Amino acid sequence: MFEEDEQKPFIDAELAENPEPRCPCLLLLDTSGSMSGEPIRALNAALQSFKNELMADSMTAKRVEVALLTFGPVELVTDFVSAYNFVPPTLQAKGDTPLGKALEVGLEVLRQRKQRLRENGVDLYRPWIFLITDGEPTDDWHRMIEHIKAGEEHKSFLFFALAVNNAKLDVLKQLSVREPMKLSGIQFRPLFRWLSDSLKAVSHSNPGDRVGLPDYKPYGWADV
Amino acid sequence: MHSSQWKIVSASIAGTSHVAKNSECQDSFVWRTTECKDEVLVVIVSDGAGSAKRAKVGADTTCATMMQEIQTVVETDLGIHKITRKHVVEWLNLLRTQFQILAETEKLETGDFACTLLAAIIQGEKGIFLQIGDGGMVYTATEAPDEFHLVIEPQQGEYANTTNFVTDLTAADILRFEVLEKRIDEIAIFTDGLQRIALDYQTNTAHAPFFRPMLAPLRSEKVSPNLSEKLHDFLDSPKINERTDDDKTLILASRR
Repeated sequence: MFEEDEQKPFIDAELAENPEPRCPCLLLLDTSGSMSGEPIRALNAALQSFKNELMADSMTAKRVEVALLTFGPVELVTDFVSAYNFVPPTLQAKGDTPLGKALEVGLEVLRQRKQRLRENGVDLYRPWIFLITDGEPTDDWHRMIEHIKAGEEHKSFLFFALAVNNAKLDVLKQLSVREPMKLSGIQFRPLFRWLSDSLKAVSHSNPGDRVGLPDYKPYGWADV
Repeated sequence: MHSSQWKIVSASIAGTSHVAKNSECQDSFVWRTTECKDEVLVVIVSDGAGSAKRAKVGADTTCATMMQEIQTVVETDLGIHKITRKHVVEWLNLLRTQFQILAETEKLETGDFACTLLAAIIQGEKGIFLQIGDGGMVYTATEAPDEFHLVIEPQQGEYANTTNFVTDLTAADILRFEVLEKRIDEIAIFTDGLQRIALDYQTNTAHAPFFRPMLAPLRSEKVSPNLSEKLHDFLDSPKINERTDDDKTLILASRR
């Protein structure tokens, strides 16, 4: 018995039970009438593969949490949930495009989530907001420009904007600090693949890391 | 070489994420005991930032320079009693100059040498602790041999992957300088790779069940000669690696 102790003297060390730090990812998805048909089917399929890709790495699955807010009308389809427990919904296209309202609700949902994590002593990575839209906003979105700019300045979140089909790029250009990108057709799958790869890189980063995002030529978002 | 009252083991291991990327361990450490009327123990640990191009050089330089400066004072004053915060700020300025020279030579920025600093300077009934950035130092004192105390809370930025570095322009301001007027018998110094394992997250206090068995082998009269090797194996075990993929360094010292 003495022998055994000498062989592995440190084996008894009990590790502190810490929850993993979280990287919240808020998806703002345009589900207005113009998305009906093939676009919404492609988006639903992409969400399914997004979940699978997040699950492929155990640390990413534990650290990335996803929320899904659709517009219009504005609806929080999935509140923040770890990738493990994320069940991709089947979205339906209907209604108009209240982008301003969606951004307003989205920022508030994210703010509350951060506060909750902090109150529970859980560490955070900088949250991601990912906007995908195909249409022209039908409400007042100008008022959100300063909120997004302020959020970026204070490092409250990273905001990415993506235009599908015929979306107005100039709207997204005014909203986003980062150059908005245009998705060719409805190729959602490679986009979500890039998103899950990026979130994996972030959720594995340690203090002092500059996180290099995976190369995805059409977007040109290199690092954060 | 004098015979020291301190028994010391150490291990420093590249994190699994760095191994996967084929990059080296960017932690660095150095320790030394100096014979005085009361023996002086100095332990310095530095964690090179993952994003910095010359993180390992930064950590090595930080350890070497700080050790040299501390030794100069110790040898001049025959002890640590005169060391003040002002000294440390001077050493940090010196370190900064070194990084500026290195950066100019290599056409880099001083930030490319970014790294943290943890230092414990112990003599008799006194301990001086320096910290910039994350990681931690945990001790027990003669007065309460089973109480494990974290000296300084890890400095963390707003998000999980941010902290402070010796290369920051504000390094002198963010430096934590703590003096403990008690007889410290045991000290454990670790980089942030072990932080989530060694500290309770909500209270930011030392996790005693982690440190107690760690320090136990050092309490015996005769310390096993290959204890550092065993510490290395433990820190590289699946039990640890499933919880952290960062570089990890742990120095344990005991005079109990």
